[in-house]
Amino acid sequence: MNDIQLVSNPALGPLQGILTQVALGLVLLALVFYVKNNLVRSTKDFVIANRKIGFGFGVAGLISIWTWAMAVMMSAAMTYQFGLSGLFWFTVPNGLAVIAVIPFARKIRQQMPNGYTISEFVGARFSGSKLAALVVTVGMLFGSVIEVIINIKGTALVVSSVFGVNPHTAALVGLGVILAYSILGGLWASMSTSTLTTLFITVPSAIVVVAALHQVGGAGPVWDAVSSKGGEWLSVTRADAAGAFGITLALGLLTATIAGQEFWQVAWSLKKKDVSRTFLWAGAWFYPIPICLGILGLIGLALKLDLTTHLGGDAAAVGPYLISHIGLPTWIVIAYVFVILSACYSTIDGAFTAISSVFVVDIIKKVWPNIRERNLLISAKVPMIFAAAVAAAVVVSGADFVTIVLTTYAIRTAILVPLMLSIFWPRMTGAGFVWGTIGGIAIGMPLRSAYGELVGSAAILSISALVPIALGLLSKERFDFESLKQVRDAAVAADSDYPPPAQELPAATSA
Amino acid sequence: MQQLVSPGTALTILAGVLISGFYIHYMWAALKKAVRTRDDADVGEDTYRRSFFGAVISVVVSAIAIRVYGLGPFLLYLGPIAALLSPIAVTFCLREELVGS
Repeated sequence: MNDIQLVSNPALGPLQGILTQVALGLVLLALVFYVKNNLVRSTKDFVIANRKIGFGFGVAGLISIWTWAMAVMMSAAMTYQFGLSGLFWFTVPNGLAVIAVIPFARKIRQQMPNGYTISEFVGARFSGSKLAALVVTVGMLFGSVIEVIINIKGTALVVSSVFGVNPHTAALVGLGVILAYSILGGLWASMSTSTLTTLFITVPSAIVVVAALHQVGGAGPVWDAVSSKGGEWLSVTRADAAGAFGITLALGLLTATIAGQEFWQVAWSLKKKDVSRTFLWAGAWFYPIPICLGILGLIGLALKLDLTTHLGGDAAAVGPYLISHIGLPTWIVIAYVFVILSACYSTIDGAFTAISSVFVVDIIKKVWPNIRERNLLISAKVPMIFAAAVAAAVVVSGADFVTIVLTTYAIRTAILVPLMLSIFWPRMTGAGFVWGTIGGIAIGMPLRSAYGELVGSAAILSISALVPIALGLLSKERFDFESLKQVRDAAVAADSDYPPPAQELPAATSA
Repeated sequence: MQQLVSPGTALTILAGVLISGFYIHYMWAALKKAVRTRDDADVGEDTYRRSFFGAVISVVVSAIAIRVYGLGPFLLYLGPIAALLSPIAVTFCLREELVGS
């Protein structure tokens, strides 16, 4: 291990970086052209894939959508910082967060088969409470925009650090590429390209890690070097890993999936028979990705990489730094960047389609219920451009988006328990939803500032649970969930000649 | 002269190429089926009953996979092996979608 020289690869220049970004985009664009020409004929196809996503595309699409660019790097980062305990606390809740959607997705497909968005569900569930739907709509839009920003920032940093591309250029090229194919094909484009990027994430990861292990002398020296640091580095029972990030990360992950429009959109787009098993298989087969890439963190430990000197104070840089500084062939380095770009592109296109569905269903159709199909389809694409522009502006300007992140975190965490209660508990009321959410944010966020994430999150969850439960028990109302089956299919325009099969819509919704 | 790839890397690349071939084959076939059946009614119901059992198995296996890294150096190669199993599982799912009713 001592004779490894940490030097950057001189063959990696900005042109290779840009070409790698564009090359992946062209491959995905070619697929999307086929998808667009054969599967996207209406707004309903664009926004919800006409609810025809099958088991295979569902599993692969979910894996890729859930594998953020940051997650690819964070698995190694947490391993580097906490050893196998870091990898454990990063990985195990991650897959579980996807699996945990199952009971909610299953129930919501039964209750509201024509649904599109979480905010639509909340609006229909609490028909007297526009505030509840508004809070959720804002939370969903912010959440998706934040996903775009975080992923494009992470990717731009990696591409710039490996290839020397200007990070603003890398961000703009990435956003442009993703927007180009997302705007053509909507959710069909997202799920089909994400199916391909799951392959691009998994196979190259295996190759890169095996090559990296060989380059540093093999698994033996790596394991011995980490083991010599102390037994806690190869143990999964370090309490500091759980306390430092594990528990709050687990909560954040659950919030991101159960209260994430990207996942509800997939739940509504899947064929009915495939909903439960798709989320199970996706969560289960997501696990190998961080389990494999976490090994880069062990290599970083074995090589005694210094957090400040080598990684600029950011543990997330351990993977990119290692791959580009241990003398690996250029094509291996490019393969690693390909993994990150694939993770980035698939997550961002998922976020774009989520924004599109919220915009169409919760804003456009509410304001213009008789909008024509052609205009509805255009309105489905416009918010993607807007979201890309906002993300580009934030990244290029260097604007601090911490406030947006905190707002999104607050709203999503605060609606998590009320949302869960709304799906399963007939006594849940609109007032309980609103006051539980507002109370959770109003009390929890100051506590978070004063006492840290764990206390803050616990406070938000407790208040957002206790208030609705108390108000629900005091109320005599019991919601009839059967009424949600009457919710009309919102992405079908007034003049649409798109005929849904007769079995899909209940008779009460016919015009 | 530096070896282009190690034997282990070459083996992983070979496995990856084979897996990718099947993956893309079934993906393309499933996509064409989606086009052929795009106007068919969705008549099935979600009767899957193994979610809880599957969740437990997934979480336990993933935790064990991480734990065994600490048992010996050669077990580090379980990570790349698992990363290759994932697209194999997805290929199975795509095949299920293709041949399913």
